[in-house]
Amino acid sequence: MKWLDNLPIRTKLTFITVLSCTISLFLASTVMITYDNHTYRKQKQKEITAQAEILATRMVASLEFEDPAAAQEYLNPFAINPEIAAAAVYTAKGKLFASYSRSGIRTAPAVSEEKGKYYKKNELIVFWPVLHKQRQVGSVYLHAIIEPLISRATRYSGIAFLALIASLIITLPIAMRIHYAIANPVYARSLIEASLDPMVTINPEGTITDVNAATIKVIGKSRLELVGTDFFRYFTEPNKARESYEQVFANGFVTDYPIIIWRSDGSLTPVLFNASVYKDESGKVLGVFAAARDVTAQKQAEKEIRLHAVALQTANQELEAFSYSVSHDLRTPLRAIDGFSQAVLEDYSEKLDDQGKNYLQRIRSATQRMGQLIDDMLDLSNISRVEMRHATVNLSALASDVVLELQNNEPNHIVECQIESGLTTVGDDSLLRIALSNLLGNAWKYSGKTNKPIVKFGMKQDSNGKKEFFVSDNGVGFDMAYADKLFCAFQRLHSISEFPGTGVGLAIVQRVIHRHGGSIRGEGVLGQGATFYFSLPE
Amino acid sequence: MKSKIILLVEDNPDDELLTIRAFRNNNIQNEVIVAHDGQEALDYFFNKTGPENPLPAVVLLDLKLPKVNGLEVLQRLRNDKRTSLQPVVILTSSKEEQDIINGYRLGANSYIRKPVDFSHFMDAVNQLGIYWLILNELPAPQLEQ
Repeated sequence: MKWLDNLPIRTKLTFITVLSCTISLFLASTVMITYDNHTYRKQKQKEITAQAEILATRMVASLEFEDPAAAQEYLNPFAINPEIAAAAVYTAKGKLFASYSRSGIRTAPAVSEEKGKYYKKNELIVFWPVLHKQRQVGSVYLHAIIEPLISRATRYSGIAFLALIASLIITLPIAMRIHYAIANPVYARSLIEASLDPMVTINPEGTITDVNAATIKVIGKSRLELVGTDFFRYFTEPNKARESYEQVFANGFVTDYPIIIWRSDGSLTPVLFNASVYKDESGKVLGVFAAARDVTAQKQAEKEIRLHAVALQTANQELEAFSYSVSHDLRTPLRAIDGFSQAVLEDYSEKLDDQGKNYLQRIRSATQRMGQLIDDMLDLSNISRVEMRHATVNLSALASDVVLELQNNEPNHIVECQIESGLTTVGDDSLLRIALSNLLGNAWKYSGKTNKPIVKFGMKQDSNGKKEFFVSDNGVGFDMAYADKLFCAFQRLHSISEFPGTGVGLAIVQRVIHRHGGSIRGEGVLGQGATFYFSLPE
Repeated sequence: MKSKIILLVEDNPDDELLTIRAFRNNNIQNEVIVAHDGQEALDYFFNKTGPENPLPAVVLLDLKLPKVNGLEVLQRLRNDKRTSLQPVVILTSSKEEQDIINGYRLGANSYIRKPVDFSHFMDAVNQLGIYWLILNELPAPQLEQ
């Protein structure tokens, strides 16, 4: 009956109703049919015997006068009785005197038998003596075929079926009402039992009055062991549990009260308790209903998060300390190298030949480049460290600012700048300024050797409605074969002598865009220009 | 008028030499007193044993210093009535944002980052000298309360 357990309670009730109706009707019908069959056969036996007796009295004269024709006259009317299949009259010696057979279905035996009546299945055979003045002058024979049990049973079951339908029409609505009366509490109970959270009811004295399956599991004791015992003893801090219980009575409820359940095997389960009082109809407090949430996994996760946070913080602090130290300490010796090289050039100029001076110049420019590399490296690491402040940023205005700065720095470098107006996004103003300054600075730089340099900033929307900002130029461009190296720090696609730089700019841009949750890509054709597309989440 | 004193707080002898060289190359002949760590700088101002040292026209303060670091020196100067208005220029290698913010928060008058390129460094020192030794007017010495 396992499958029955999984059915909804409503189906179960309907099923039980129909089943019990059917079984009771079937049993009643069977008993009735059996009883009826029994009485029917007895009745028929009586009837046929009575007919045989009447026939016997009527046969006296015919036998006395040995007039078979007259006997036949008495037998023929049996044709109107569909039950009688054959009839006969025998002489005293048992010889067939006269007989009737309906359509030859059954024929009378040639010789009579002893007085008697018996059934052969559905066929009743009666031999009855013909008596005249206490002397047997012959016997009569009647052979009746009575209606077979099966055809009556079929009729009865038809009736029983109709009765079943009728009774179901009456009982099913009743079953529905019972369903509402019974199923709802059962349903509610099964919900409570199905809950993963331990649930308990406690009376005002603090004794457990009911528990669900989850409580049994978390405490490790059976329902019988729990009900009737003191609620507070199942916690590591019974007093705290009692305190929370008193709070429930004082305020009507407690929410997320942290407490630790002490399992019978000694293990501990941290939970958050929610409890409220429940009352009877008159408003009298009957007890407390408490539900706990097992927060073991949550606590574990919190612990892990804390550990990760600490590890992350440590890493960040180390990184901060590292870049702080790089910022201070790495530059100092460089300044000394550069400074003293210059001092040698100034103070010992006449003692050095041109090659010596050239070497010192090389030392100085290498030192300065090293200084630039350190600065760019710090800038790059700084992009990831600074705190982001989100606000609406006018990218068009930022781009105009950057271009103005570029023009001021290189007033002799004439570049046609096309900046689409009114482009805004939400992001960190100073980070986005750094990104745009690098992208536009690159466009400016790499279009520097073009005849009529054009630098553009704008926005494109693809067919899916996705917006992409872009910075383009008509400068030297790049080979798409190296596109994957564009955003790697300190990777360059052009030599320093062609275009100065350390190869950090696009890495910085990418970090800024990634920190905003956006994406960036570059497209270029060697000798025709480059376009950098970036999208920012809206 | 007695020439204005420059107090250079610098632990690195190379930087010390180069800074002084930059002054001399720029024809700044003022007396340069060097403190090699934060404690020496504080001793100059708060010398308990001898007579009080004259207040310098400007303190060129490095941040990363042995014993007492630059920001602590600055804090101590600002907390003392006599030195609370002392012009202090932070002259250091880093341009870490936290250094700049903390420097100004503690009342630095200026924050100059030493360029690696010595020519730029010379420019910076020259301008520093012109500004703090010639253009800038100093407050009258503050008396002890």
